[in-house]
Amino acid sequence: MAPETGADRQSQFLVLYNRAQSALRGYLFSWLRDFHRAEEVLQQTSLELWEHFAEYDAARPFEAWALGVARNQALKELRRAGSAPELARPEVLEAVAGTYAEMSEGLERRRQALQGCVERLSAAMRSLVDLYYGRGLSVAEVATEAGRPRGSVEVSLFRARQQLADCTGKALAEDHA
Amino acid sequence: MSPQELDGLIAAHFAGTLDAGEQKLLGDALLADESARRRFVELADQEAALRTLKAAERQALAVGRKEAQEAQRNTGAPSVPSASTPCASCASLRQSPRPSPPAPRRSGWLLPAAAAAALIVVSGLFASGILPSGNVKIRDFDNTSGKVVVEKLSDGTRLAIAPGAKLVATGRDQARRVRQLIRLEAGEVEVRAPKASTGEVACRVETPEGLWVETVGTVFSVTRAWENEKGERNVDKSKLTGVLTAVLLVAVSEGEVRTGNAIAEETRVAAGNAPAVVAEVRRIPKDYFSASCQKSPLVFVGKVVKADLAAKLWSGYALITSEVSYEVEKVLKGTAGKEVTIKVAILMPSPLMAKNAEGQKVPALDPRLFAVGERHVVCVDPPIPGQDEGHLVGEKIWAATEGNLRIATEVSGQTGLSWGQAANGLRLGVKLAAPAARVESGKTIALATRLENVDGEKVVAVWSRSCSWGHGLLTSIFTEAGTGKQHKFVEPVGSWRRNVPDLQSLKPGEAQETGLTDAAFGATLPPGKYRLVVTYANADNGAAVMKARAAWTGEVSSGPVEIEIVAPGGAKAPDGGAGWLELLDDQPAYKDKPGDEQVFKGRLDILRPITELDGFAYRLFTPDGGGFTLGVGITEALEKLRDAELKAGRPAEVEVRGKPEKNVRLYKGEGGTGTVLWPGVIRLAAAPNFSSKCERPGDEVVAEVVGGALVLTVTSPGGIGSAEVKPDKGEWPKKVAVRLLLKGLEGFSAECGGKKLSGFINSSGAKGGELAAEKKGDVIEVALPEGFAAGKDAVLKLSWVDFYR
Repeated sequence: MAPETGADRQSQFLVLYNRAQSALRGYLFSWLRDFHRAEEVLQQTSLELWEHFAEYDAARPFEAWALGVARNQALKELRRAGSAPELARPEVLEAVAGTYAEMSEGLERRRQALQGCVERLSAAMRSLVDLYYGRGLSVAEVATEAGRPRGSVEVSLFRARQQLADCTGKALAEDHA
Repeated sequence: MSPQELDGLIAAHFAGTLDAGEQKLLGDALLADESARRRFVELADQEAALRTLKAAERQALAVGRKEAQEAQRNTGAPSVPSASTPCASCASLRQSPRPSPPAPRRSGWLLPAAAAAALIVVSGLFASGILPSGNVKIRDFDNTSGKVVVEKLSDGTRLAIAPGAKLVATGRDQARRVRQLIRLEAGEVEVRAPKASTGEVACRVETPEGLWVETVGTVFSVTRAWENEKGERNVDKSKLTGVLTAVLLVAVSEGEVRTGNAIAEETRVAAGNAPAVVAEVRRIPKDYFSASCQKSPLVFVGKVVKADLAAKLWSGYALITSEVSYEVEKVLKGTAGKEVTIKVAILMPSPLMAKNAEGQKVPALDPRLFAVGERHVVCVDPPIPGQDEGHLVGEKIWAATEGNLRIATEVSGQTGLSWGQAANGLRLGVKLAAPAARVESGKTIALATRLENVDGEKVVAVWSRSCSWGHGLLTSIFTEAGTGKQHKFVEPVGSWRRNVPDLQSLKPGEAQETGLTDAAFGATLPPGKYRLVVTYANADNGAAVMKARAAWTGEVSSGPVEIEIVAPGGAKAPDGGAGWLELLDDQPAYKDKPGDEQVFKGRLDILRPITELDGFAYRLFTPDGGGFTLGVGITEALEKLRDAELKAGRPAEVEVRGKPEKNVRLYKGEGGTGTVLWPGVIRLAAAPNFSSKCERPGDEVVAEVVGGALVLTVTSPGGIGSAEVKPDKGEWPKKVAVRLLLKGLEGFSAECGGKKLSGFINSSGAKGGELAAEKKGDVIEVALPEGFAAGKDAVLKLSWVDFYR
């Protein structure tokens, strides 16, 4: 049940929203693929969540509800841009949102471990990660900066992502061991 | 599908390279297979988390409080790199001569707690419902009573707030895993923070200068104060003279805290230790600046006394080939006389670079950075033999104002602006960006505007130029001399980065500046003399967000600017005309290069890091995503060409006729090779031209390319009509926006290549259809999906109805 006073309601919403924010960001990014666009849609999603918070049933997990709202915002944005219509079908977005909600605790643990896992990459891979994710360069621009062929950079980035996923997965497994 | 195939599809999805068949394959897999979904979610979440992590790291290194505060709002608070050992070379902590705290449970600086008295608690700006990611304002405290007041925060942290103290408790900071983040704006506060969960910080207190203290659970007092070079200290800056440094005074009653400043490594302070003083760093920490500045034998604070730089600052590397003379105020490293003159300077890439709507990096440094009177901290490198006589490393350029080091993005002293009457705390100034007041008809008129807060006390918030709400508010009115006929042009929405309402807070004296061209205004004026006045108008349209965000509303006009439009040939033609520009064409070494000349088209941009390349300075980015290193170094003619295009809001699209050569060594010493295009000649690529045909007489569609996007402005006196637009020359840009100068849009459609989309805003303001229409004053804007109009000869059909009769 939503709290009575405005300040209490705010506080409760903030607590719930802050916990869900990373999952919302990740979910939106998974469809929109552009960090800034995902941030903008996250803002719109946040506004929707706040405006409809009175309708939220506290018996349900907040994250699942919030991901449902994010799904609708993502669909709207994808339709507006005409992006990936064969992949971004409503039922696919819905299924992925459900999986996101189920995996949320594990994902949070992975995010916590990510910094340490990045530091464990080789110096060369870390440098590519900095150029691509930090400076926001395209693969072609990374290749120029690094003085390497584009294909080689693509393969290295692919391997870096695999290594990071394995490393964060191990951190999660250790928690459960 | 094998795991490797799935990972490959997911990688291609994030690279944006899936074709329709692969999209369907991946979609079907995600629908049918839970393990595929889980893998997709893992990798997607990781991609987003990597971006967030790296964005936070970069912003932690970015200099200047303005940048850091905006980053806190937009992408989550920056994380400060921590280190396990203190930085020996950093003068970040000095022991205060104060005595140890007398009592174990409370610091000696504060009086015992008293009941809350006249404490002002201001609710956060949450009513707007717009949540900045990661850093949410919850409670403001401003203790104007004469007593200490105690407050308990929602997470159990207790604050004992001294009289005169001001702080903001913002709650949880997810990105930095802080349970309670407090921004201390003035005075002293004692913090009792309950123990935090594993891996979490219980409480972090930070100041606008980036000084901070954090704990996993303890009792400590922290004070924001100022100190001058004599060691005198006060919480009130106005009571001190001399060069001031912000300091944070920390005393621990129980447990242990970590403290630091924005760029130095942390230090731990435990209960029983003498109180710590954390200061803004004066010396250059070895990890912060790039290799060049670490080696600078001379670093000083100086004031620009002479500079002849004009508009030579550009892009990620700014080459200054003139002299900058400084009056030395304080030497931080090395020795210097009273005046230092820098002869040749290269500015290294700066965290200040912004991205425009096309995602291209454009300079955030203002050419007026080197105006006489600007104060900088300057790192001077030794001269490179045979090349220069000492150069200045721009990433380390700071403007020192009142002793606070901050990045020099603000411009002091405005000249040449024509100011209008102030209205409601704001005034507007305008000037022609180019010195000439005679412009050839058809050529670009470039304007600079400045919207300044002239209220002596209050902060005024205006819509930020980084968001779409901050556009479309400027109208230029050209009044013909003699006839008095007016031509009004509303600035279209363009070059914004965020499609949500975002405010820019202007303190007294601060301003929002724009650079505009008549292309932005849609101005096409016949020859004649005109008086130009620009107005800025933001009306309260009754939307909830307007009230909640408290953006300034009203109208303010600039002073007049006289301008004469002359017939073609009547004004001096700008440099860099349509013809080929010779580069290596007449050089024997070029003629001897094997292979035939070929013509390549693409975007000309700067290579970085320039000083590590073996004389190369530019890159030609071709439309296929590849490109070439151009076989020339810094060339003045190319700089002018790029500057002119960037100033006009366009990327420098060029054609190069030259000879490509593979496996050329690109870097000095160890380094890779690449393909170099030795450029014989270069020219600007022809801008695409569009023509339109309207069904009804009196209707008009004007097509202009603004910042790489095509803007179609529709005028239709009857309110109902249609038009066809096609390219005469060139191709359709990916981005096409339609501006309709109509009062309503109950029907709108766009059709191209067999695709048709529609949109509307009905008379009650409800919107619908696949196309999003936005009403801004007298203009309705519709952005077509990227790539909607495509194909060399494709015709775009538009039709509109303002109101159904």
